[in-house]
Amino acid sequence: MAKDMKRGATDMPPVGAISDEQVEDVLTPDQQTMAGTATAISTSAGVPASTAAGAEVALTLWGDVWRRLRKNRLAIIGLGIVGVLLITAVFAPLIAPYDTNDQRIDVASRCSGPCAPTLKHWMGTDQLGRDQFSRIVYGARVSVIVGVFAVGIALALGLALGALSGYFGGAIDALVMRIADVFFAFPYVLAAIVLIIAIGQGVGSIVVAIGIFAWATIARLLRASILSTKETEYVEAARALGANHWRIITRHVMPNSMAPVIVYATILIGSAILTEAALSFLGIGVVPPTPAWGYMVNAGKPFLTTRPYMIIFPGIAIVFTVLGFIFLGDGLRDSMDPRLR
Amino acid sequence: MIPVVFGATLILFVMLFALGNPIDSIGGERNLDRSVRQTIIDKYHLDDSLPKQYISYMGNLAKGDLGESILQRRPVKRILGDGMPWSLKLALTAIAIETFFGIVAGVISAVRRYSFLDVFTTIGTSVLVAIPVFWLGLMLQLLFGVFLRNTFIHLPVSGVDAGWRSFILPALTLASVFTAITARLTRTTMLEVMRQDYIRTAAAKGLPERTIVYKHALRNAMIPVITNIGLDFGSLIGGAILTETVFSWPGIGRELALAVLRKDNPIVIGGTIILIMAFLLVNLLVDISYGFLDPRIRYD
Repeated sequence: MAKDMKRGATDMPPVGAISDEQVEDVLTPDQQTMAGTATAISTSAGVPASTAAGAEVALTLWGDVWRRLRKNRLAIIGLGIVGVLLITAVFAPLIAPYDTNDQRIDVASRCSGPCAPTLKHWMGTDQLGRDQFSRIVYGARVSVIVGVFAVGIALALGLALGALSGYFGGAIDALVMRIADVFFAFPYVLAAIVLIIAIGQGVGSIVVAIGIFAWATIARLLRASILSTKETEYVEAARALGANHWRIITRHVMPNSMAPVIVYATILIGSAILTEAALSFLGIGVVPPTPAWGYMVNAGKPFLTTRPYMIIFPGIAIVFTVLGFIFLGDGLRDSMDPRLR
Repeated sequence: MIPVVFGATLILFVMLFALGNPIDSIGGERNLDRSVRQTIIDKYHLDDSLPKQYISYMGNLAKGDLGESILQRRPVKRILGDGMPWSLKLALTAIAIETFFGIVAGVISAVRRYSFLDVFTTIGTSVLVAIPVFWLGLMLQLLFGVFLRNTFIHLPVSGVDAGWRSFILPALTLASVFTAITARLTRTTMLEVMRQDYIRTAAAKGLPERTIVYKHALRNAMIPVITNIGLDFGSLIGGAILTETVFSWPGIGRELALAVLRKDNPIVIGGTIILIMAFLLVNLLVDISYGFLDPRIRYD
């Protein structure tokens, strides 16, 4: 338990949309010192953040979040699915029994196309005699890459612009939010299609398209959250102590405004994976022969009536992956803000 | 609305004309004839500076000139015009399904909180959101077109030739995600509204539960739900591209997807512009409808 707390404290700044009495629990000792509240100074002045948080019970929000998350069955299932996805993507060469591009003309001609599942190829083979299970295992890599990088770009843009907008307000706020409106008008699939026309087909185009069109929602969420955080006493206290804007934003406002963004970003990873699958299904996503789930469904379309498993297995992979991120995101929301339950 | 239209067209312009090679963008990277290249250069004023190009591009747009399809040799406006009614009919059917089933499921979920039905709805909506639209379409085709083909519930799996029966599978497919989202949102807002004082007052007056839920709570819970139907119209467009492709539906979405594959880019560009305008228009309508739904909201 204590170890969990500690991990929560060291990995990430404590976050959360919080009521006044929760504020003290949530701040790291360091922040509390900055905030200058009497209790904070008396309990933790001079103690390094990580050890102090580790020694005390349920002091950090992340510790709290983890404790509540563990009791949420769906969230744990989601965490498990995400874990399996990551392991599959990282250790794909060890898990996959065959080379993904190993075309077996003899196998394909024996079945006159794709083969039904057998003991050797338990998800069958495709129209070129390639092992379907191995391709699904490697397909996890494309999904992880798209999910991580697209959401990474969106977070980088969204956090920077959302923080500027929410913290400074005024003209900057108006400008950023009008720009966000424009980006908001593009559905991801359409944005990706246009970008693919302009700079070519590939994982890069998909990542960039989702990244530069998804920041708007993140910026809006962060802005809304900051608007309430920046009115709190501890921010006022920091300002009174003479902290500069940069320090107030990064140490006080951002950590305490991140909860809705983290929840949304988790679910956005799932949306990004779905968008990639959709584009690959349309034949304009990843470039063959790179194995990707959406592309595998597309390849199986002509065999829908005779070899439906060609479509069923990669589809199940997509559903479970996305479901994992949704369960995790929902669980995080319930754990971070108990008021929403 | 107007600034957003300008912004959106500016982004399209930047992506198509400034990032890539516009001749390749429009010509689909084909080896074009010198005369065809010259026509494109003249039409879009590609030998002018970028700001001038943007002005002429907006001028063409304002005139409703979306160019001509490279492969079909027909004006893009005509091609999209042919698809529009079918896309609209499908989208409206899907929105009707989504609104009805989503609100019913959400209300039941909220009123019977933590019951079996509520848990079932919560998990079911997560699963529906996670299922790729195109895969759901294919699975429905497999079920109703292949496994049940000799029974009376067999349904047409492609095209529009079977009258209203043609609409069932595509509309259900397109509505799936949004039914789930609407259900979740309805549940959340209903739970919020049910905590309000006026609901307790209504209950204290001895009003029957039915009256409280439908007359007092649901009406007030509807505002965010309706906003969301507008906001989700963008995703509905993405879903329509996939649904129409899977079910060979003769709408704008399928035309767009085919055009991307064939690199018939004037159709892609024109289609994208039309769809984004539709998205903006729907959101404007939603904004206007607030005033009717909730007299407390006034625009000054």
